[in-house]
Amino acid sequence: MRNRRKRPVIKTHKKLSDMIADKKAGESSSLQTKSGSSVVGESNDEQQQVKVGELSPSLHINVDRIKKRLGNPTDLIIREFEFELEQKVTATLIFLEEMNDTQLLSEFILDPLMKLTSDKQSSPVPVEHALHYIKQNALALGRVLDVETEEEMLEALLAGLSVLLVEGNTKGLKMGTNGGKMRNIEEPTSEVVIRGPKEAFTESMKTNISLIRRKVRSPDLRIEKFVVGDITRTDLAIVYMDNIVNPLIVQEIKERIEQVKTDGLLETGQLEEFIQDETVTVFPQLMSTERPDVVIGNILEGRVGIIVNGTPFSLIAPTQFIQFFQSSEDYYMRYDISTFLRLLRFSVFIISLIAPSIYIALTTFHQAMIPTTLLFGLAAQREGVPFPAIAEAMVMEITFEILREAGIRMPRAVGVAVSIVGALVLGQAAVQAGLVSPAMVIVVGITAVASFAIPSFAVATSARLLRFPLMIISSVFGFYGITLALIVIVAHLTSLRSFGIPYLSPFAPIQTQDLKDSLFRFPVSHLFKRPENLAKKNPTRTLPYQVKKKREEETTR
Amino acid sequence: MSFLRCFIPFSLCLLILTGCWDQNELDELSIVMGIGINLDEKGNLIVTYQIVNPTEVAPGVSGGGGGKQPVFTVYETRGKNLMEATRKATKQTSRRLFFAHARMVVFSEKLAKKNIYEALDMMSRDPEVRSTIQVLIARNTTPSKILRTFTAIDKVTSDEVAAILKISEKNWGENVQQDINEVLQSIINEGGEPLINGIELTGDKELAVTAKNYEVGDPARVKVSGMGVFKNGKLKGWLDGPEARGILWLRGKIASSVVTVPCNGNKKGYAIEVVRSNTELSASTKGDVPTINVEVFPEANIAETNCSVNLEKPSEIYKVESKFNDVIEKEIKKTIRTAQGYNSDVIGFGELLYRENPKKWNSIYKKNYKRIFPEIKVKVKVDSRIRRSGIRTSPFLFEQKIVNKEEVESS
Repeated sequence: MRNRRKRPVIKTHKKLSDMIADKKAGESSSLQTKSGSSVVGESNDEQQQVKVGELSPSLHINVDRIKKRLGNPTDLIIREFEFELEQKVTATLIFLEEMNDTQLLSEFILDPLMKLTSDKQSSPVPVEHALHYIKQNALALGRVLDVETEEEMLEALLAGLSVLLVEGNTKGLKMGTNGGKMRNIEEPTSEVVIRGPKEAFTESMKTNISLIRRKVRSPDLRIEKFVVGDITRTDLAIVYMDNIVNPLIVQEIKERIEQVKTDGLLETGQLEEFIQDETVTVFPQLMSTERPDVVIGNILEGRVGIIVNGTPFSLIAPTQFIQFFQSSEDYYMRYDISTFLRLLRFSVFIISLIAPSIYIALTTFHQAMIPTTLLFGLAAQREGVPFPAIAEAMVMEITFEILREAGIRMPRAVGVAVSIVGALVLGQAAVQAGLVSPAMVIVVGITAVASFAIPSFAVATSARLLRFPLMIISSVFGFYGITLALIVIVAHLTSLRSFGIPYLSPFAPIQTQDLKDSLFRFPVSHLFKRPENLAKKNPTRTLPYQVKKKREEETTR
Repeated sequence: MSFLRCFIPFSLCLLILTGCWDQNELDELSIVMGIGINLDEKGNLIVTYQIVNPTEVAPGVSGGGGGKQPVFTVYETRGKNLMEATRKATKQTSRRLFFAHARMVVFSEKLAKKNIYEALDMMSRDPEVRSTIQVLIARNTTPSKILRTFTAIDKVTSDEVAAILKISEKNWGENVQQDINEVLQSIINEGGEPLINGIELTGDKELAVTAKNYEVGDPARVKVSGMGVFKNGKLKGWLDGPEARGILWLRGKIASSVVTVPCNGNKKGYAIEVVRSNTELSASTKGDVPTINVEVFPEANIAETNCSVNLEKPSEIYKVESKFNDVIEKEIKKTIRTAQGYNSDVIGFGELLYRENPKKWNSIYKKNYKRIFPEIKVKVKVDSRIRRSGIRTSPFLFEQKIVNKEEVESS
């Protein structure tokens, strides 16, 4: 299966591997020359130039190369200046203007460097040691690293770092001066809760990681970074608890991420399609969330979070079907209401899946099952409706989907108009025109509201898609068809795996301990174990709560 | 993947190749609510179907203009058997007859006296007709008239009749709901015979079949009346009033009823409201003629007294209890005597004997049951408990008497 999925990207794969090989070659060559650099020195530029990718001691050659590679864009700032060591040295600060904090640059790089004077130095510093010296004495920044190749330098520039090159040095410095406008941390828009943290991830991976780090002060929290996308070079990080997670799962996730060879990665949805187990299914196999507390809750259960730079939605792997019916709020509210809500959400999923098909089956095949009085009502409503029930239902459901899509995409100002027209189309007017029966309007209405009550948008979409085939089957076979279709759906769900973990666990295969936190939620003090499949290494999460017992003992004494 | 490759064309074929043979839109069905079966002079069946007009029955649905239509319409066909007559009905109806919601089937007395078995077969064999359909016999009228009668409260006659049967069984207890399943069961039971409710028309019978029946305050009504006793599938006679209630006492089906108990020669006496009752039957199969013990344990409240009795005294209550026992015992004995007179075991003694001693039933009783049944000795014992006397204790008649006495004494 996996081979088939990877087939279309083989081309890019080759290209990238070549690139990596080139890079490695460049690195090794730079290592070789390092030892002899003082000997070779600046004597033969041409020889240096031939070695692709290596930095030249000559400042203007390096600068020219960069200009050439980047096409001399207007936002590329090349600031030449001088500072004093043993002698006056020319240096260049290179950065992309919009991606750097210019105040940081001037205050902590340019200012201290330009103020360097030879009299402050205990012994005169030779030019070859300039980089080391200014790193130690002048640059008041936390993140300062060496760059040794041109590729490395380009990557640093494009990632929003600034690069400092000094005349006569075959190395440069990259400095973490990222800046520029970024969206603030705001309230989540797609996973609103009444009780619980109100912060959501943003597009910046750095911010997102900070949101997680702040809440988990454990040395075992692991954050591993990857870069995906030939062109976009998108940062990606996986987050997990080293002492809980199953290392095989982490390894599998890493392997799958590393094998993604594509030009760009803009959203976790794209990544999801690459790394999911099964492509031909309507069910989401990875959960996405924009809430840090959800990610943390899941990594505490032994799952792995995947954060992609540029999107507020992070992925959680592996995912079970039941997770889509759980909300983070379930753990913040009392267990009884949480259990009720979970059961409600599940029944709502069933309703949004089969409500129209049940209506069709009842009115066209199983009229005997409708209570007599209701049958009179339905029959009277059907009187004079020109289409069979299936056509009626299809028209209404598709109209609803149109309205829904229109409602999402259209500008807010037009919204009111669309909703008024929509209400007319789906409501009274359609009934009065004799196009549909009032009962059908109710059914479509219930289905629509039900599909909005499912906390996960992803799984609501699966129900939305499956609704239509179910309607057709029910119009042909009645309940018999619905039952068969549901059996097929359940069988399909059972066959799914998410990173090797059965999709329907803890129900199939059954795991009694995990059932405590599935459709039901037991009181938190009774959820002793982490999910059995995920956290074999460190299964205990809660110890029995003893306070009550102790108190009782004390009082009886 | 290979699974899908097979599955998709396969399932598409299913969609195309099927004929949707039992698919019917709601507006292609005629919902039959009641069926009437009569015999014509040649011995053919006359079958009447009462069909609802849903637009008139459904609440809040405008009939789409036009004058007011009747809530139901009636079709009548003839045929040698029920199925033939049913299919012939399509010559008159624009929609397929749909029997799943039929509430009652009414036989004419003529048919019932001849033979009821034939008509019951199709009813119980057809998968569409429910086994909960109530069976009735039109008494002193024809099924066709019953089904044509406009009823005042439940607009569809069949609905009304089914509701009457239910409420009357629960509150009065002279009828017991007999759906087709129970009728068949009582035929199949050892030595058993069915007992079928009667239904008659009261009031202006000419008016009953016109829509004007809605407009008058005292319209013609349908009324459940007595239970027909059968012998070998033929109607032999009727159990009415207390005799009919005796059957319910014997079968333990009394849910609630009112029994009038006389006191000190006052016929009005007490109205005793039965709230629950339990019946235990046992049989002794020693000797040629079996003996059956009937024990009835009713619980009751005093609902009304027209006697001046001090109900605060337990001894008075015990007196009422024993009188109450006597009344019920008489009712039951009379019922048994009548049934034995018809020589029709509508009570279910045969089944009881069979369960008590199957070997003896099969070897001796079964063959001679016709001879044995009228001679069965029945011992009836009633042990009632009066629990409450409403929200009063002694009646005001009694208080008044005390006052009068005092007046007499003082003067």
